[in-house]
Amino acid sequence: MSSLSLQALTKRFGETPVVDGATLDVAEGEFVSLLGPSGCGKTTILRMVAGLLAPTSGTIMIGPRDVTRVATHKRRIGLVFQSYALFPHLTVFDNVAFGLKRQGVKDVAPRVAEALAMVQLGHLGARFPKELSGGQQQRIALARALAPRPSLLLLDEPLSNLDAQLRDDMQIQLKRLQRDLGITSLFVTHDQSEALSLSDRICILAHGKIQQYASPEEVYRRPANGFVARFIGKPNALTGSLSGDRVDIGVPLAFAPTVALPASGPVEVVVRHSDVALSRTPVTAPNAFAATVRLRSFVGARIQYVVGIEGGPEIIAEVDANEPAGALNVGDSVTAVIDPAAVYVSPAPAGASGGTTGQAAA
Amino acid sequence: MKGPPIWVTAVAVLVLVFLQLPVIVVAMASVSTTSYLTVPPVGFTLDWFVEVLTDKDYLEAIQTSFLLAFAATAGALVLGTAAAYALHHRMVPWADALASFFMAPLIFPAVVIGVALLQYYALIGLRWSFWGLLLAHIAITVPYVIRACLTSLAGVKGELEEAARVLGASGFTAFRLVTLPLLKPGLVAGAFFAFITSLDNVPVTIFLLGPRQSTLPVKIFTSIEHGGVDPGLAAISTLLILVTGLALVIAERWVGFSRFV
Repeated sequence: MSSLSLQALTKRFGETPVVDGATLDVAEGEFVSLLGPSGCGKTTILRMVAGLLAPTSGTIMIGPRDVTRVATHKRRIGLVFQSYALFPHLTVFDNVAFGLKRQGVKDVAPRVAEALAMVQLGHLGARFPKELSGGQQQRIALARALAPRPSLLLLDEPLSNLDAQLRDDMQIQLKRLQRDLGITSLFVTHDQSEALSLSDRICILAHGKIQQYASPEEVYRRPANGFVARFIGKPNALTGSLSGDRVDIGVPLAFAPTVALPASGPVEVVVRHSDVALSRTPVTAPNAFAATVRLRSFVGARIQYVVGIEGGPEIIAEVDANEPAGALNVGDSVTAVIDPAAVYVSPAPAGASGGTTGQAAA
Repeated sequence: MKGPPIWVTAVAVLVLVFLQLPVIVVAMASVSTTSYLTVPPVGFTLDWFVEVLTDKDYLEAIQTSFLLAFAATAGALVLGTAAAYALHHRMVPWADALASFFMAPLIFPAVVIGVALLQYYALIGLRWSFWGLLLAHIAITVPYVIRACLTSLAGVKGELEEAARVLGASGFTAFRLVTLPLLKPGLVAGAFFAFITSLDNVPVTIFLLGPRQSTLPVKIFTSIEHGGVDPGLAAISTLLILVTGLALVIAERWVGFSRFV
């Protein structure tokens, strides 16, 4: 196993930077997700680490070794593709043996058996990939990547082609396997719940820049900027203007600043659905507003309300179905309470900002 | 299940018979005991087959033809696969224009190619040489390989070679172990077309042959021109049809090549 370190990694296609000065350290055995919307550069970073794409500038270190200019086949990494990319003309056994043979391993059979056992598919060695289900192909792809015992495992949205039920199972299997093997892993995804549940740390990207690199809890609880606040969780994205220590969204909203803000002017305000509390009785607290329930919808264990704040905007609140607030009806008058610490204000237009790379490298 | 209307079947049968009739006529004529072509044949003999297969000129022409066809097919396979790979992966600028350019020999009148090559070879000193003839045959057969290869490559995901490289295969090894086996059906089909095209070519070849050289189809052509249409010609034509037919059956059985036609 090895650590992975990216230093000021940049990739430009023509004049457009796709990855812009990404600096990232992944500790030995750590599971890190690259999370962001499509076009944020996450797959480009993965492909540069794999050596399938040459960086414009910057350095890639695997352990103590600078691999920036090392050919793909000499990097000793495992890569699981979104499409699995199993060799259709080879059996499952030969697929898994492929990397071992390239390493010159004499007796591949026990190593292949070991890899197939890891994904509980030891009995499928003689099959061809097209005879397997999607979930099985996905596990064979994982076994093939792990069989040569790579120093680093890269995963490019490996779960996105599976249906929801299978995805949850695979997520648990993947997490367990990664923990047992202690293999350093870099996982590319656009799915926040996948990233939050699997990762030791999450690196959030937008427009080729790292927005925040921290633990799932940290990213969720203390978003570094408006982009992260909007991207993680289910956000109410509002606009407002600063006045003194409050932000005016029709009603004055108290908040705890997390990023540098101008003295006045338009700002973007993010409040997560789950951070809006509703109560039938008046509440004395900062950010307690009189409101009316306009819509109610049942979303599994939770209830989602659209509430209109008097003199302010309509916002969405999501509460536990078991809470007293779960039994509200349309037309009810309520008090909506928003914790100032859960109000994320950022300069408009919010979005990618380059000012957080120092933080990201920490 | 209800079949097609009777008239559709009738037309289909008529078309098939019309297309196959010359083949049947030639085969029948080849066993006639007469010294001139006649159908239906008079009597039955295989003497004409013996005669052409012991004729020194015919044997030389057959040898030249097969040597040329094998060499041209091999050359076209190597160059065509490399060209198709480069075009498919857009490793060269103007890939689309280049692809059309490579296909030009399919569209250009063959006589024009023959005349042009004759003058060109005279200039660079390749006239009447086997190598000149071989190059010409590679040029006219390579489009078939490129086309079959491009079709096959479209079905091979680029990620497969990447997966092989990540697993420790160098670029060429990845191509050899992953892409090449997946291209095999297309390559067999392309090679088959290339081989038949070379074996059967007259209009280009006839311009480039030296005074004492001949290939089988040119030999047949010139024999007719010089007046002697005898059952020997029918016999050699029948042999050619049999060899081609056999190759077609093998190719179809091997890779199911009708997908590429």
